[in-house]
Amino acid sequence: METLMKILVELRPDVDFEENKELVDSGELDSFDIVSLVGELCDAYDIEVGAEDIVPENFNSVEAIMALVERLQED
Amino acid sequence: MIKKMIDGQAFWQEIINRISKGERTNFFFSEEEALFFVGNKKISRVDFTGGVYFFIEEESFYRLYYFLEKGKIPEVLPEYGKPMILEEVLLAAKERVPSEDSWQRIGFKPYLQRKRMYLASKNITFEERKVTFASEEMLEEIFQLMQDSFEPYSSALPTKEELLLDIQKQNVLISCKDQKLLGFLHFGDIKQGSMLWHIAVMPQARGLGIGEGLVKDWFTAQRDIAKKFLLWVRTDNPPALQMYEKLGFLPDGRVAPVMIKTT
Repeated sequence: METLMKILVELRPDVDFEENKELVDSGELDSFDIVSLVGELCDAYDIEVGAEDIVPENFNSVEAIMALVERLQED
Repeated sequence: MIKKMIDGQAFWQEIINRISKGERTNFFFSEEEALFFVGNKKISRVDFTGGVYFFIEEESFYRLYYFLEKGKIPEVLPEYGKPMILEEVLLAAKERVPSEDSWQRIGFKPYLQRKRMYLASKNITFEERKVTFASEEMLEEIFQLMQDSFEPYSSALPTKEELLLDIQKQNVLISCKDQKLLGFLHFGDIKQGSMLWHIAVMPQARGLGIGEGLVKDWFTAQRDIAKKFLLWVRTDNPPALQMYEKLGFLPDGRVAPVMIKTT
């Protein structure tokens, strides 16, 4: 979780990631953020985020992103 | 080999597949926009080992988009007969990959750079101001000032028809004196916020605080709607940077360098 928070804060220092549970739906994260974030996750966790996983519900909160990463690490 | 793109859905699927592998890119469009490019036959491609270039044709130049596998560097581009513009969105604090050098090696030169700034509504002290929205009669004058004030390649200037629609939507504010246009501010909606797209002041009216007044008008016009105000500003424009800093805008860490390859 610490690694993820570091990535997120570097990406968007202006966003309150602990409070906001609708990061994509509320428009807080845009397509640049998502593309950058997927690249960072691939590098940091040595995973591939499947095309079917690039959907808003997987990026709406820190918990959702972490769950995605953990699931992909198990695959 | 340069190929025209014809299948929008296949194109979008390819984009998602490349993103999912963490390929480097400057392609940040939505599905809708990607389909639009293909539908309008504006986009072509060149494939090479380790990546692909997409070209979007504008009237006097091409916009270049790329996908590069990890560790790969940009390859030499075919000659197209018009300037090629490469605009990237990057995080200022992170190392640029692929590097500026690797683009320079294939003929690109630095052109300009912008940075993004934001201001949360809760940090604004709103003033009571009488704001003036542009009327349709002012379309030509505003359009001309826009053409005269911005560089032609990366300013995302609207067409006259698009500007008219934005005037009708009350997304263009003006400053006037004796019914003469002194300046305008063109903004648009983003989720929960408002984005300043273009602002310009007549040369003879600069240095009089008209730009600052227009920005304050923008705050007033959007105060009940926007939770945050965003803009991109050129880093070689100190008067504008100082004005935005004075108003409370802060950089959010995103920068957008633009490079050009002339023929």
